[in-house]
Amino acid sequence: MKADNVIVFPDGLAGEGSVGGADVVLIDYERAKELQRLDYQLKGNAAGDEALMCRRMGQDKSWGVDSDLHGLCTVAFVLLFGKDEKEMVEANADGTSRLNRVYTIRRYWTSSGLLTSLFGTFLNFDPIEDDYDDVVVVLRDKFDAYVRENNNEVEEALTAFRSALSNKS
Amino acid sequence: MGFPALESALIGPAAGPPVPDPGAALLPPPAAEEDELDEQGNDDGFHLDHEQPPPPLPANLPPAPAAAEEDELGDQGNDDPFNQEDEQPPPPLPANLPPLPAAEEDEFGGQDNNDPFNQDDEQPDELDEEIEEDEGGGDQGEGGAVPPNATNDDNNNACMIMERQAVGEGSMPARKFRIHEGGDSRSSNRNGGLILQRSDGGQGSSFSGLDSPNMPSGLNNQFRAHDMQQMGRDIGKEGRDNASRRRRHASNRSDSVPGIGLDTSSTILSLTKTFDDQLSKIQSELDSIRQTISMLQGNPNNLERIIELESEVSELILTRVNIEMLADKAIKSLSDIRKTATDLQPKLFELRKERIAIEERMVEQRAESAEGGLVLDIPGREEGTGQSSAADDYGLTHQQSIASTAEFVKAMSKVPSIIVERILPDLSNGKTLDLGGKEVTILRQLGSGTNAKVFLCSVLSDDGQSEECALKVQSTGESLVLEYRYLSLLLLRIEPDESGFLPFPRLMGHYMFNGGDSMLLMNYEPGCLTALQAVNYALNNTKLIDGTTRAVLATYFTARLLTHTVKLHKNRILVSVQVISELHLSTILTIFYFSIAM
Repeated sequence: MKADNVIVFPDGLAGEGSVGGADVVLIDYERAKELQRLDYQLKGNAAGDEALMCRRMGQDKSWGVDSDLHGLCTVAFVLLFGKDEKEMVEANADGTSRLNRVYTIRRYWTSSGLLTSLFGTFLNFDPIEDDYDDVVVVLRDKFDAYVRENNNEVEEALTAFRSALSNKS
Repeated sequence: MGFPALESALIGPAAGPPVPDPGAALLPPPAAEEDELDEQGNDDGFHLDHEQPPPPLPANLPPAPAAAEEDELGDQGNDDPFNQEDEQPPPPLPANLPPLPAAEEDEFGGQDNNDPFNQDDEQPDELDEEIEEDEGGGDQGEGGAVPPNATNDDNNNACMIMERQAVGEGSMPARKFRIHEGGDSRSSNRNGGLILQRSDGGQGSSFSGLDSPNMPSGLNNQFRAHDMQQMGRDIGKEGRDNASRRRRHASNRSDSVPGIGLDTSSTILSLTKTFDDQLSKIQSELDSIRQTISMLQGNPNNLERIIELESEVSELILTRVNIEMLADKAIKSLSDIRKTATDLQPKLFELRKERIAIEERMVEQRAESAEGGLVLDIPGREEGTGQSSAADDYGLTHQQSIASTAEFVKAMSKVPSIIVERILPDLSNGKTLDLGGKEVTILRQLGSGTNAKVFLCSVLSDDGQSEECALKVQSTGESLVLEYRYLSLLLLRIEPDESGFLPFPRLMGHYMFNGGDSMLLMNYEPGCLTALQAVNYALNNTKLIDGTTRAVLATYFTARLLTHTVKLHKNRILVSVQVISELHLSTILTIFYFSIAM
């Protein structure tokens, strides 16, 4: 999962919970994998871009859904800062990962808490020790709640987004 | 609002057309069958070359006089005694003709089985068998053989071979026509003193076309002249009738062979034309000889020349008969090929089902090997935390993998995989492909990666409507087989919401090429763009989008992405896997597919 493989629809057909007909679709399942369970652990010789590897994959440990969660963070990072995903992560002394300090989540952003939680938890998600529902599903619900509670703000942002695209074209 | 087309991989949401009928995917025949059928066609020994050389014609013939004697001879209809095509009984001899001398009947047997003429009763069948052997490429002895492994050029010369037989190089003419000089039975019809006789069905309707030169001339000679002229006229009429019949025959088979690249209509028509051309030349030569004979008639000094010309006429008649039979056999053979191709369709259907079953087993084995090779590091279980053991886990996942395999097979039947061509043609703008009956026109390239390209294309649906789709093309080595699998599973597991939205591309078809390439046809929504393009085209436009607005947009799209990701995970699909072993499996599956396709 990376920014190249996420298709953005500024308007049109969109799923439930969307605002203003804008939504995203995930493409490229060429290297997908079928899971037996959400805590299912996989291991193999990792290939591809190192920046897209989750923490455990980089440490040559088994991995699972944390790979997708890491990819999701890269998409959010690209959208948020417009920078290459390779600059997203830096390692803590204890081996955990964190958002590169060069890129700051501003406190005045209405979603600053959500975004901080996103990078803080997903970059270090452990599919065995962390419960998927307690971490991932809960955070998803928080994001959905944010969208509902800030519907007007989202609508205005989407309008600006479409205007920018129109100017570009 | 609409957005211009963007140069990247753009795959639309779930607003695509309905999933094609699985059964429809089984209609198009694989390219592999073409070869099989082509080979069958060649094995028939018949040659569909349209440029056969004309048969050799008698040389040194005098120019034909302008006048013909048709009025004098009268129209006898289909009286040609050599015409066996309609299996009509031969016509009786003209009533005003003198009976054959009794001595001659006695001499040549009359009703006796030893009579070489009465043996002609069986000769049509023998001739058929001989031709069939030729078709099969069997050895026919000198002059008449088509080797079993005959090449196309060899087969092309079938007519020529038959013609050589007709002029005495093979054994067939001698079997069909017994030629006598005086009282001696001879197998050659080259020299003078000919009696050309044929009996049909033992009804005593023997035809004595020529008499012995030793016989008194006069009536006999007159009979010869009349007979040969009648024969030539009949041949002309019959030739026209037969040509017309063959054309009707060809037009009745105007459709092409289903599933193979053999157009029986055009082939039969070309073949008919070739044969008709040959026969037309023979007819023209016969007319010329006939008129020459009429000019030479009445002068006893010309007797030898007349006999020679009559001999030539007999050869040409025989050649004509052989060509006629060969033409019928060839057309019948083409018809048989078409029937064979039609009969193969159910077998093809069964083979496809077998392929799916084999794939099911492959996937199952793959799941088992993945269990053994990829499941590692289960610390909780090793530490005795009460969870299931690794062995129990393996058993459970094995059952799950079987269930998943069955689900996969079901998913495959929902979006079928089709073998469409032997080799992927060059793809460029404006190029039109026939993908399993779908007419797909490449509009432009949307994006490309290391091994894949994505094209925007126009697909003509069954109801004549055109819609835009994304066509992902992948080269050998890293096929789209796995993507096809996971998209099929997703299509089976995740139902569209009320608005018809799906968080993944709607798969419309998977097409494989024997060259190793494969294609995925997916829906496409105009105006879409990748997240990366969204950043480049809009989010980095700081005049319209400030930092706060950008954060809202990023949060919103992240929320949507997280929602879809959780949905995928809950349906047991992991999107991001970058494992070399997965690539190997992909390659193995690709090889497997194409080995089935070959």
